[in-house]
Amino acid sequence: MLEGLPTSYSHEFRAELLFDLCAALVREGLGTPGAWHKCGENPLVFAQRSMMAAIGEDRWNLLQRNVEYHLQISDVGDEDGYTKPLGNGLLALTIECSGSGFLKIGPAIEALERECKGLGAAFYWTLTYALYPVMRLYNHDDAFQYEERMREYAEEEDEGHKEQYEFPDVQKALPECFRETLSHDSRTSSLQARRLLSQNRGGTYRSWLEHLRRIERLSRLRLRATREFQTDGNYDSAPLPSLLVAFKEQDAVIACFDEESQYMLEGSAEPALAVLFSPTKPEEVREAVRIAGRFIALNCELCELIEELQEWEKSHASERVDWRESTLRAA
Amino acid sequence: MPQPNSTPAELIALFGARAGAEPLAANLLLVRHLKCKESLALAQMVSEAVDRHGGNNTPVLATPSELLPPLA
Repeated sequence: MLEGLPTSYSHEFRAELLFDLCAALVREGLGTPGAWHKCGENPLVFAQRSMMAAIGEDRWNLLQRNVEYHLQISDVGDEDGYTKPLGNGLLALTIECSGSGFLKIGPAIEALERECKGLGAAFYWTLTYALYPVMRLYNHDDAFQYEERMREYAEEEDEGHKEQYEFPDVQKALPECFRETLSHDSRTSSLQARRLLSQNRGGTYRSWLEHLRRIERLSRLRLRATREFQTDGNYDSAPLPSLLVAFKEQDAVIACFDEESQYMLEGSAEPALAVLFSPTKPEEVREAVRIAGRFIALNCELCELIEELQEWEKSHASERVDWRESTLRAA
Repeated sequence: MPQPNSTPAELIALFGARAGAEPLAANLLLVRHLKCKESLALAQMVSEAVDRHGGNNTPVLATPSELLPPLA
């Protein structure tokens, strides 16, 4: 009796943008006639599968194990807290982070320092400066800022109430070899770091240095995401951190992150990546693909490094990694 | 309709034709509805009325007394 009744309903509004996107995916070699046929000639499924195929299953699984990212292509954006059509035939490619990755770098820094004095700090600083232009990190610097804010709040309190404040001692959490480099001139340090990394490229930890070199190369690509999308959106805060970098289990950086992360999900945060493009303009599509491609490739390289360091640590120490309790830590 | 062995150019042409095609009458009707405040208000009122009066076969149970009688 129920046979023949429709079991689903869908409607399309501004469907021409979806078809323009499908055509753009085919032009860029990301979608194929075979894929169109396989997905039942459904344009939405075709667009999703074409993008997934471009990312690749292995890379997708690698990212999912380490961080929570959400990739979306949409014809609407936020404006003063309201969803509004972008207009002018534009689409927005966004990647949002809702759970940050975790890199415990202390043991690696110590191992590198044992290999060659200064190499551990060089590795840390080079990685940090390579990641800064591409993604939001939470590291010793954010922990220092949090500590400073707490001390300022305590200063403003009346006598007798100051004791209720607890201060994380971030300085103490830092490995000694790294602490020494905090006051160095950044230009000289960068040159020294480059020299040290280059000298040790064939050493015991060449695989880590190779990951770092690839991350640096991806970071140096001249690509700019669309800032207007973030400014028009009037978001409450900068993107949520894609990566927490701490030195050891339960250190002061993690303590600061755990405190701050309790409030990070309260307001709206900027996407980790946003790029506006018109699907009918091949040069804009190509640029969007390059920007998203760089972000994904760099994150994959980073996740491979994280997993390699975890494996290395497992085989070199009995300390168990347990950092899943925090609100934002993803993996 | 492109076959699995058709070329990318044919597929791009198909998407171009679909993008330029007239929207379905059902979609146009829906767009008109979503843009009309009166229509949206009416839909909400009908939906609320259905919730209140339609399919209301479930009898409302009386609130139990504070001291429940022991089960037999």
